[in-house]
Amino acid sequence: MKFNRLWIGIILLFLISGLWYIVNRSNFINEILGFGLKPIWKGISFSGSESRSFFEHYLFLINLKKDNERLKQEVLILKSQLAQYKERERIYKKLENFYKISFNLKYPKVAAQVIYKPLDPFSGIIFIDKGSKNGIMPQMPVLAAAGGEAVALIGQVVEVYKSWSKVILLTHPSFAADVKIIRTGDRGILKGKAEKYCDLQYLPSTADVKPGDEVITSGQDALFPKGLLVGKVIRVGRDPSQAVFKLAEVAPLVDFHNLDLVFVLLKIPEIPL
Amino acid sequence: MNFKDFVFIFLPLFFLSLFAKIFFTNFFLVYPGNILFSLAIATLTFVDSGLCLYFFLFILGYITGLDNNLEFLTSLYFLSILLIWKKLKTILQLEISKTRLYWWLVNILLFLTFQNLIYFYRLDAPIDWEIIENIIIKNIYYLTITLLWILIFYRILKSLLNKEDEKR
Repeated sequence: MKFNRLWIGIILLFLISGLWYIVNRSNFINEILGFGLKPIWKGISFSGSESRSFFEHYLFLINLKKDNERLKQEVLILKSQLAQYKERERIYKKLENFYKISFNLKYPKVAAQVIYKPLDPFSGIIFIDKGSKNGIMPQMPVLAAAGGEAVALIGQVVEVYKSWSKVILLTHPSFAADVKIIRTGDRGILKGKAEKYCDLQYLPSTADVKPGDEVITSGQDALFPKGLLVGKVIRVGRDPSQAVFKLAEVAPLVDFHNLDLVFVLLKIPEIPL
Repeated sequence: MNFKDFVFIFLPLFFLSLFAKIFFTNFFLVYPGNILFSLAIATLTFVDSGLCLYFFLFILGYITGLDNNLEFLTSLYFLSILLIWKKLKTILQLEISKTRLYWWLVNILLFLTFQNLIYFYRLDAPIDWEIIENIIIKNIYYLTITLLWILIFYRILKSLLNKEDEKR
């Protein structure tokens, strides 16, 4: 009896998932999980990073004299409040700065908060708090401000749910983009490998690429608009697997460990893949 | 695993491990090991039957799979460990601590092999010495930290389940 109920449950779940996929083109279980876990991911991620910044900023206060304990507590509370305001100001400034430096990008942008970054050693995925209800679709480029001076590509949306999305970073082994070197104009394919740096493959053997050269998107893959900064070349050599090409290593411009605010470019791929 | 144990022991532990996983990632900015997998292994050391266990392992596998976009495959893997575990538990004599430790190590290594296979399948870059070196370092780190988490969960579960037994 118990097993009959279990089987009926499983079959029902499969039917609902199938129907859901046909109608919405998304994973039903992820939709439900995302709905339930989004506040948990967001809340714990926020508390984790806030605790980190608290310890970074206020650890030195521990050694103050005992008679100043009460004042210290007040100062801490005020400072934590100030930190909150500063955090809001920082996000506001980041947004303002991002919109200023990305003025020449003709596509609309959606700001999204990173709600979960697993830092998995074999992949490179983050979850953001915006989904299909905000106009996000799979394959849209994801950007972040690099050092407050430029906008850099950090990845691509892979799965979209109603209120959250999965983004693969440049370092994910499934990521690939057509890019070129600004100085020489040589084109290649940027690929992730779950390491700190990405590989820039299929560079012509005659390419005069040097460490320090900046890499931008070429716009030839119909996925990413041309001219988006990607990273800097740190090493160049012969491709060991295909000797007719050169292989370079590219360091992304953005520190993926400290990502908190990203921007999705509402650009639909020109050729549906 | 009965429903009462599931609700009062395993579900709170699941939320605790989820909290630990996300909090430590954001606090230390490093990978904190596969905490959910550790919980699954520690659970299987004590329990090997019940519908709730199937559901619990499915959820653990599914959420672990979210990290590398392999939700269903990882949950199937977690369920298959249960089936293998069921077959081997009588032979293995897990009450001996040394055997238990080796068996945990074997399980982590198997899961690491699964992760590495997927990684190399997805990887479209020439495999040089640097990649291999990094993979070895990552694997050693993964193995150590995950084993540590299994030990922590084993301790917690042991005391919690013993208390439950005493009550009964």
